Amino acid sequence: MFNTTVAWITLRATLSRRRALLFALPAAVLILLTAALKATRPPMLPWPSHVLGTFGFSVLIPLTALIIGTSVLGAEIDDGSIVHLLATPVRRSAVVMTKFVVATGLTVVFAAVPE
Amino acid sequence: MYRQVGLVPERDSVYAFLTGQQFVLSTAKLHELTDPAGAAARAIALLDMAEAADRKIATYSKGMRQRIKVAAALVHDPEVLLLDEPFNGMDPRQRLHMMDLLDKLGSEGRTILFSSHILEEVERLSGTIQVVVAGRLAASGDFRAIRRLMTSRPHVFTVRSSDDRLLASTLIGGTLIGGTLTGRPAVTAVELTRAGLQVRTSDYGAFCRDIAVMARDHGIRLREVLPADESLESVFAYLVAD
Repeated sequence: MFNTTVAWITLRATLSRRRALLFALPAAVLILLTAALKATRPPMLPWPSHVLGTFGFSVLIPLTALIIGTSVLGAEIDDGSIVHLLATPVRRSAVVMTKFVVATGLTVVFAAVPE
Repeated sequence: MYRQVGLVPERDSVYAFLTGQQFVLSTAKLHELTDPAGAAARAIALLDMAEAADRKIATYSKGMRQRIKVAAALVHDPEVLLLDEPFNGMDPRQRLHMMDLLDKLGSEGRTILFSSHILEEVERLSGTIQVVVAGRLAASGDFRAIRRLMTSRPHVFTVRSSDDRLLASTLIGGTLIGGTLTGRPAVTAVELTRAGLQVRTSDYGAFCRDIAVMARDHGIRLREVLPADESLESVFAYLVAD
């Protein structure tokens, strides 16, 4: 169900586009925000859990997942290069599963780890 | 089924971020070949792409992209090769190379199906031609068969000579007396205009041969013999009009 070649191509495709910078953007905003708050507020208020809980989990993770999720498969379908993949004996379900795993992995790296 | 078919899509969409070698190699791996590296190297060498194989596909010209796509399609040694407009964007040398390659692959016993808008290419590589008009199959067969089909519609020539009137009567006379038995051109109509003769014939080749002989025999100088309707195009027009 998992095809390493498909995973490798997907990873290369996703990370080699300029769009990869976009994945890191929400995380960068979060880190900047935390740093700024830390500098201006006294440390006794419970701000870290607020920022992480409300902003981080409700905005950042879905946003990053959305961007990554659409780009692992969407870009290939848009420019038609998916044909090269579909013209091989790889099962469609394996393609989808692999892309799903890669997208999940990338989301973890770009969203969960900075948090 | 995908193991027997190699597909070369028309769209210029390849994984531009990979090098040519990586692209062909990953296709080989996707086909689960036992020796993907060897198969990739063979396919690349066959398409004469070894020199550029380590460059990213993004830097390739259109012709090179076509070739790397063909290499990827051939990597698993398919019995059937499908190509959509394979000569798009190729320079004349690459075009010849590709034609030779397709010829070779065909004579090795593979089935090759390709589409093209350029009739000369189709005619050269011929085999069986399928003419599709508005999504429906309009004609099918060997290209000579389609040409024969064309003869139901006369070919039109514009002829200018030193004595148009004499030539016209000779052309008409030739068909009346001898018909096809004497090898005279099968002229169906001759029209005398100010610009020259408009001759309609049902046999393209015979007309071209015989008009020269006739002109010589009657002492007429031919100044111009021009096909007024391009033959392959007229068959298309004819088929489309149907």
